[in-house]
Amino acid sequence: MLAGDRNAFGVLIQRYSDPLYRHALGMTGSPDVAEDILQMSFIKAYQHLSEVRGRFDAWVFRIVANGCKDWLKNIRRTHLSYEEDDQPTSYASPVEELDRTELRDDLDVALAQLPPSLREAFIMKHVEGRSYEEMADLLGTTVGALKMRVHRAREALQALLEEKYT
Amino acid sequence: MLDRHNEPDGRSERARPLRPNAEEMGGSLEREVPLSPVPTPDVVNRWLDGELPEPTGLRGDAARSVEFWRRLGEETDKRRRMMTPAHLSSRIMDALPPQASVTSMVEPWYRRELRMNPSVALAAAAAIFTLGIIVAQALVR
Repeated sequence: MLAGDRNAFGVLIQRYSDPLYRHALGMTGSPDVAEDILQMSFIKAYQHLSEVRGRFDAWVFRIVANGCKDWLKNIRRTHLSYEEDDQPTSYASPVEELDRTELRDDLDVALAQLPPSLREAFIMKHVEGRSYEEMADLLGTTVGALKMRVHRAREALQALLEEKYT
Repeated sequence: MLDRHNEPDGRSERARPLRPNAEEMGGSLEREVPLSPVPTPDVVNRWLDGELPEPTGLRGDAARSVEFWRRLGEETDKRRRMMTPAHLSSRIMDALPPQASVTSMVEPWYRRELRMNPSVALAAAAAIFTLGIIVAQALVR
């Protein structure tokens, strides 16, 4: 694979793209941007395969995470809504469906107001479902610091959304 | 869009810290959320962290907090099941360059294994012998 076997690299893309896509989507709020970041990250990974030390998934995560931060740094968000790629489950009524779509959009808007470090921690914990230990390993920080970030993100999100959703 | 992900500072991916500093973030990294945070009860945080089962029998703000996070949890659970769009894998494969970089896998000549066979050994011996004669003549003069 390190020699640049395209087929082997394709297997790695299939295996790791879902969690990386969820991370990029959560951080940017845009499916198009998430796809672009993922594509750019995998190309960069392919071009620097010889630099891989340790776990490939952690290394690619770092590339994707930095890509998201570059985007957040350089680009003003132009749209927040999700396209219907996520195939929502059937809802009991049109009213309920509208309600859930609203929550989805409101959560995006609220997440966009968080500082990137808090948004990243919240996305990794609640959307990607990672343990604090795994997050600490990937981000190179401590479990305590990450718990603090997640807790602060929760407090901020609740402040932004609770009036409408409680 | 894609070009904007290039490294502006020339650092390799491994050399970059995962978390950019405040200057790189245009000062936004340390900014506070523009609202007074709502303190989340410890029991709720521990539930959300997976340390405790869902709390029951709470009242007031704590009960509202549980209800809020139960509702938000439905949305985050749905996002957790999201898959990469089907076309993306083939799009990435099509965009891959013809061959991965193997620059560091090509060993410099001085690190390569020396392989000898009789003709190489004979040539090397002849070269050393000739060099020895030249050096000896130079020293005698």
